[in-house]
Amino acid sequence: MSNEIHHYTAEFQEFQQNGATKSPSWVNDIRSSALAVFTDRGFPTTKLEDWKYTNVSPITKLPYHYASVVSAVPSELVSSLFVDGIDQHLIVFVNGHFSEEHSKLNSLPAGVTVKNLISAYATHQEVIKEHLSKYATYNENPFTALNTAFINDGAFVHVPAGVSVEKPIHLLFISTGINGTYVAAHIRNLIVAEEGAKVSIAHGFSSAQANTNLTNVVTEVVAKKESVVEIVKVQRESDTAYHVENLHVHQYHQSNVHLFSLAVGSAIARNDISIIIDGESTECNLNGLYITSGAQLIDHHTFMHHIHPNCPSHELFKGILMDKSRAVFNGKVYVEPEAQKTDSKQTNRNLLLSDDAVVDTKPELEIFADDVKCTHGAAVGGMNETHSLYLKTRGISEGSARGMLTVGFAAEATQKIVHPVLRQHVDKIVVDHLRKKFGTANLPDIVHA
Amino acid sequence: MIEIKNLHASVNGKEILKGINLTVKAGEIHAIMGPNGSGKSTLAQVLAGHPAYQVTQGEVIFEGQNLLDMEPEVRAHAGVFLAFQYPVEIPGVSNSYFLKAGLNEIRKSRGEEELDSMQFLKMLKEKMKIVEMDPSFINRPVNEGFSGGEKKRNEILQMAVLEPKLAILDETDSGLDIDALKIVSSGVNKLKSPKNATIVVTHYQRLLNYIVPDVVHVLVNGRIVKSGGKGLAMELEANGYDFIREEMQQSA
Amino acid sequence: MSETIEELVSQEYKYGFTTNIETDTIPPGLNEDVVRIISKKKNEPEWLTDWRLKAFRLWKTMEEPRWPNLQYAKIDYQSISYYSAPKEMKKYNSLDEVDPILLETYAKLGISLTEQKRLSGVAVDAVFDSVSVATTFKETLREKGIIFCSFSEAVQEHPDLVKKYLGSVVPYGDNYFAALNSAVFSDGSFCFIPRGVRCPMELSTYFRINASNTGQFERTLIVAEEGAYVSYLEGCTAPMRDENQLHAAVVELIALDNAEVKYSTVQNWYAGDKNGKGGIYNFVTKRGKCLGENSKISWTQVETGSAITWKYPSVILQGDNSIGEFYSVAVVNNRQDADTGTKMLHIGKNTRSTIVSKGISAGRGNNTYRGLVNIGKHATNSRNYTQCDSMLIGNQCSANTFPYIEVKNSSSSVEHEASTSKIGEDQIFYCKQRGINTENAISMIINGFAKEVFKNLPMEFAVEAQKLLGISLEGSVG
Repeated sequence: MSNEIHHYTAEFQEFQQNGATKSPSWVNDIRSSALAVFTDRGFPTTKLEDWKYTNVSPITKLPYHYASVVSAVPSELVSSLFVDGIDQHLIVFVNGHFSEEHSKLNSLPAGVTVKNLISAYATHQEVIKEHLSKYATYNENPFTALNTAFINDGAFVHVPAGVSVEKPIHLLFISTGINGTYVAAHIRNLIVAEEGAKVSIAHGFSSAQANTNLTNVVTEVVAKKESVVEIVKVQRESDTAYHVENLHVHQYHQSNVHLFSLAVGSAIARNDISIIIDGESTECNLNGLYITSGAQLIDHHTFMHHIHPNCPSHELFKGILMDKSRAVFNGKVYVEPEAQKTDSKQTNRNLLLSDDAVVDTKPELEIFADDVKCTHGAAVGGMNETHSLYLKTRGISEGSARGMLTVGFAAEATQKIVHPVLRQHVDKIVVDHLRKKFGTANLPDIVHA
Repeated sequence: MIEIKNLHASVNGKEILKGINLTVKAGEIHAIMGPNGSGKSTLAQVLAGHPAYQVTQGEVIFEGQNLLDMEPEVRAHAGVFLAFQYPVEIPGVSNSYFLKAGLNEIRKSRGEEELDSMQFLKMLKEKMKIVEMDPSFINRPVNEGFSGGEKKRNEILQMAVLEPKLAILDETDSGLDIDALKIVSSGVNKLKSPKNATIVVTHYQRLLNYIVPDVVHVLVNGRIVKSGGKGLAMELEANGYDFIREEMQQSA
Repeated sequence: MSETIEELVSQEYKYGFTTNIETDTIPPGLNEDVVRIISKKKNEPEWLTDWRLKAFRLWKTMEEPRWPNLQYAKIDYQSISYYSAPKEMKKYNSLDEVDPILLETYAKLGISLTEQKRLSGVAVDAVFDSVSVATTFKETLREKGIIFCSFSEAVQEHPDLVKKYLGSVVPYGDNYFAALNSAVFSDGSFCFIPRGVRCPMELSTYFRINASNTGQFERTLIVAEEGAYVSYLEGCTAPMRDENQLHAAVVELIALDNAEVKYSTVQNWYAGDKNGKGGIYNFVTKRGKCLGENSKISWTQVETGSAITWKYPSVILQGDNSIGEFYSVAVVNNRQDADTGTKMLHIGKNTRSTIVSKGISAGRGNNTYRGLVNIGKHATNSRNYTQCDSMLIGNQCSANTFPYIEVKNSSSSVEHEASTSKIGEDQIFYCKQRGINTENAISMIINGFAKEVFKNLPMEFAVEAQKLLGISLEGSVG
């Protein structure tokens, strides 16, 4: 057994004695079998096709400890992370632990549950048991296995049949450093939208300060028949932190799911987003934007699995790369023989603003049905010279033109966000981030048509 | 030329045509008008032999032959032409190749000699003048990247080349501006002769200002409910289709 | 409709006959002695024997790649005979001396080795099983300083050239199958176009596997010196046999400053029967190096045969302003598996590459495009455009696209587009309405789909390629 694995088995024993006691026993069974898979596999290396471009040894070599207690974070910090002021349903976790102090969960529509997982067992054990660890299987992804072994707390969202939640629900995960310790949070979220339910969720990850925390998340989303679900992830952790998430969505008949992933934070961020389209006439929209700078590496692996006929899926990921940063995009569209009339489009566009930045993109199609329309496109390049020239002929300086065109490039991605409040939230974060990175306030706000 | 008797047709088990009776003689132009969903385009598609439609009853005699027994290409060989409402794009295949292939098949079926490339090109260029098409269209892929008007002109060009006995124009006016409409209809008029016949399927009377019909039929809910002279089209234009429906209710 | 399509795509294999000719075949098995025997039979210099042995020793330590999207029975490398040649093959001074049975074989294949070829202006080197049997037009070419001969002859006559370039593009340890080839290659073609010479005719090699239980391991090396140009054609056929046969070739192309090499392949090895019995396992390493500035290497392939195809004709764009191209049509039917594509490695500045791949899957065929575009840090202002289209005929086949795009500077641009579609019922109906029967309609549509690739083939090859696909050639109007 390697040192790395040994470290985590020892961690696990400690966790079993101290942290894991608040969950039902069946959860413990899941933990044990996940640990067995993890100890068998170990961490992934770049020899594995799925990890070819992302070397996780900076993460795996550090002796991370799961955070056993909730740490304090200042209220001003939390309020600075709000979506559009405080008019939202907010649940806050610090290093993976529920923070009652900072959460604001009043005025939820009747029947809607937003709780931390540990307290949700008392009221929703059957629902949790039906779905937990049923979608994001731990056999494939070692980080998911590790997360599952350490299942403790996270957000639980349940929207009953036919209920519509108009205001966004904000799941906010803050990491904070603890001196002398490498802190890991294995966050486990479960979001269930029952038949005909409608909900929009902000899925936010931030750091309280520059830290080296590992945030290892698994989020399972179930969109039942005819439900409408939007999830907007905003990952803006410290650029020395590490972030891994496996977001797994299972969609049923005629449901409509919109996902957006904004990634600007972390030293290494790996996002696995899998969607199983398990019902006819079901629609999925998966979009994202990553902005990398310094020595960051941001990796998105997406998997769109078409099982049934007549399902459209649309995917647009855009990337802006600066300095010595790197981005990886691996998008797979898989169409089963039964999935006739699939209409799938996938696009990945990357804007390289530095000669030291590197993009590795791999848009894959695996098609087993003949009557389908599947396209994918990928493009990598620098600033479009014609566009830039056009701006310049109107008297705009080189630098401003560059800034404006970069904002415009980003806006094409963020306009895919459906909920106007969430779109504004993301637009603002994007422009603020670009202003910081470009070192100028002279960048336009995003305006959508 | 063509005699349609009690034609019933359905798609996916849903009956669209509920007993069409129509006779068109050589030299005539018939207009079929009707509101959306009345079955006009279905009739055009059924006559051309679209596989999605099932004929459940009735018969169609074209030049003494049972049209419904023929494969679509055999109908084309026999002289039936359909100008599509939505012409199909065939990437990578040039207009001229496509047309030459069709024409030579038709000539072969008539026992005529096939045209070689030179003869064909010469003929094609002549025909292109009828619809005022730029010669560059010869080598462009079939309908790919064509504007709506160009596609419709291309349909009439094909009709000019293939010289059908019976031309069915399915909503050929839809999406055309007035200039394109004039070009397309003058093309149709130039091709008119005492030996051929035309069925014009349209929602609006506009086209009939340029292609003047001998007979106008009104199709409602899968049946021809009224036939008359070209004045009927003017009446429809002025009063809309509701007056027909009212008449029907009164008579019922 | 689908029946017609299947009939069309699955025409009977026309080249499945065998030729009864006495061969000199060494017993199956592979060890250092076999490598030495091959080298000795060919009277090779010591350095080449050593090179082969180094390759063999390395090969023994390597593992057969498992990453391709291919399913085939395990290859027993000890059951293959690594050398088979028509018996008594001495050097010929003229074609009259060649065994008439062999000439007849080539005539059946539609390649006449006689001087008639002069009319069509194609010089042919024919490789029968593992040995080059005849090269036409050698004299005409020699006047221009062009060397076009069998690889064995080149080893004897031009050892310095061979030594300089052999393995310079595909090193003997490059991959499992290249290592195997380097150890046991028996013959192939060698072509050298000197500085400033434009080769006046198409050069062509026709590969034929005849004997059973043999593998074919030929090696092709083409060098175009500064400002030279050559267009090279390769055709392949094999008899229908129930057992699988291994073909593991290596092709190396080198283009110096301002030189251009155009390499076209129509690969029609036996693909096995409807149930996947028999057929050639085709594991080929083809790579070109644009060594000089402004050089150009262009691959065009039409892949219709083989039970298994594993092949990635690639270009290393080392010289500034060099150009790499890859045009491919790959058809799979019945139980065929093809995993094919290209690699474009941009190293020099202002380098450009174009990839056009058209995959057609029918029956239970499995078609995979796998490609790499790598733009290095110093390859500034470089461009790649890739287009991968797949067409599916029937519901038991599959089409996969696995492109890898790696970009390391901001002044370059890469664009990749891919699509998957089927022959539309509406397209066929439209054609039928215009009097074209289903079979011709499908031919036309497939032809249109693959046209961008066909137009890059030399004329006589384009005809053959289109026939192969069951496609009637578009008229001169098209």
